Amino acid sequence: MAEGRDDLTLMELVARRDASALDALYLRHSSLVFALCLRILRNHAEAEEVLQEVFWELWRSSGRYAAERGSARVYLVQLARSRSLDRLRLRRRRESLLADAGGPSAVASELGGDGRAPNALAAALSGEENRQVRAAMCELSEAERRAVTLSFFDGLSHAEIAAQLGEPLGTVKTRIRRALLRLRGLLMTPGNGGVR
Amino acid sequence: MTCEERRDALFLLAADELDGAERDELRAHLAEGCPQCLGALAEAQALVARLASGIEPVTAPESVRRALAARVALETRLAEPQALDAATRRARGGWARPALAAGIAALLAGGATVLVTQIRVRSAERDARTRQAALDVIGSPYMRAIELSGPALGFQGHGHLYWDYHSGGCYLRATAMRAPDAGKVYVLWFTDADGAPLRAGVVEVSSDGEAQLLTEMPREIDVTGEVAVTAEADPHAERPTADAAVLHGELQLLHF
Repeated sequence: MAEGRDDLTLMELVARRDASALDALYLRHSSLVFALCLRILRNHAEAEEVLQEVFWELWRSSGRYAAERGSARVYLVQLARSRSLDRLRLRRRRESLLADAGGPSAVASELGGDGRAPNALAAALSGEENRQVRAAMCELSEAERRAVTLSFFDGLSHAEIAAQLGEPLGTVKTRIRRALLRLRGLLMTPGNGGVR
Repeated sequence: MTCEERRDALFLLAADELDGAERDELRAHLAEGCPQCLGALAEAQALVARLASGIEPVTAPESVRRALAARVALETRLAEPQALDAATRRARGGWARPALAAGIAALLAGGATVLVTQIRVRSAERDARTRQAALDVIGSPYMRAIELSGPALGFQGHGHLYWDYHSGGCYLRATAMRAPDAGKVYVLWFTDADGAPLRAGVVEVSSDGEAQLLTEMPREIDVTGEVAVTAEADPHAERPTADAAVLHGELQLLHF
């Protein structure tokens, strides 16, 4: 049965148009993909649509999947993040156009400018599996954590983050890069799930 | 710049935090196939995914799994021309039926080979166009799937309505459908912003209970309205007359 196979085998089966292998990958990874879509989009219906899009794209493009470029889980997470951010940016552009046109935008107030807590990411993180990620995030300063959250999970451009935080663009850009590289260093430390 | 010096930049590229000339330079270098940097990029992508996967998992709705499975099954089915052509011909009660086949034989005897060949070619071309159009709809990145189900009591047809909101193409596919009563056909309906019905076409049902309709979504639809299939005596009726729908769903297409 497909359920017991490893991801690489399942991806090979999907490339051979085995629908049960796709279903097995879905059962294994959909909760993570859905959580990520939901976290970025903050909208259940949209997150469901992107979830289906991600696995549909996996089905359609599995023949082009190259295992040496990353695991199926990595591929799915990248795809989910990318598609969710695309959708989020599109929504924001539309809301911006609506606002420019002076039209009502009930959705904009729901999603807009974000009265989100700066430590929303930290609140979202839980579970033993992700202890290292949480610990690494805690090593960042509050300002770094906020900037990374706005950029990495909320899909804001550097200019948007600068405007929201009231800080120069260059400062924001440098802070995000520095924070991400610090996270990289922390997560790659041997004994902390490091990969080298 | 050495490949070792590119490691930080590769991580930022994986995190989508690199832009302008830096990104272009790095992509150009990767395009040359540098094994060291490609390996480092894969490592960076894994790390970025790990950051993203720090989120607590959320159980995905079963309806998404069903919709995905139906879409995959449908694509597989549509990619098999023989199976669909046979189903389509059954649905149409087409030229393969014995009586018509006898007529064709008579035509052949009369020397009308060219005519029969043209009919078959046109039919095959029509089937291929239908199949391709349906594949275009369900494969579109702008596709939205709406789940359809039969009444709680009575027979249980179920399926999906696939709508490509970019092209306007709309494809209904359902299974476990009972053929309409004699003298009636199944008609697909939407509603407009005022709740008034909009007729979208006649749904064909094959002898094995598969229903399909390829049509255009009416421009005036309410994207948060309803979709229904009813049995009607008049395929051109302006509004449904049946007491109940044989298939029903809710659009709820707020985000597109």
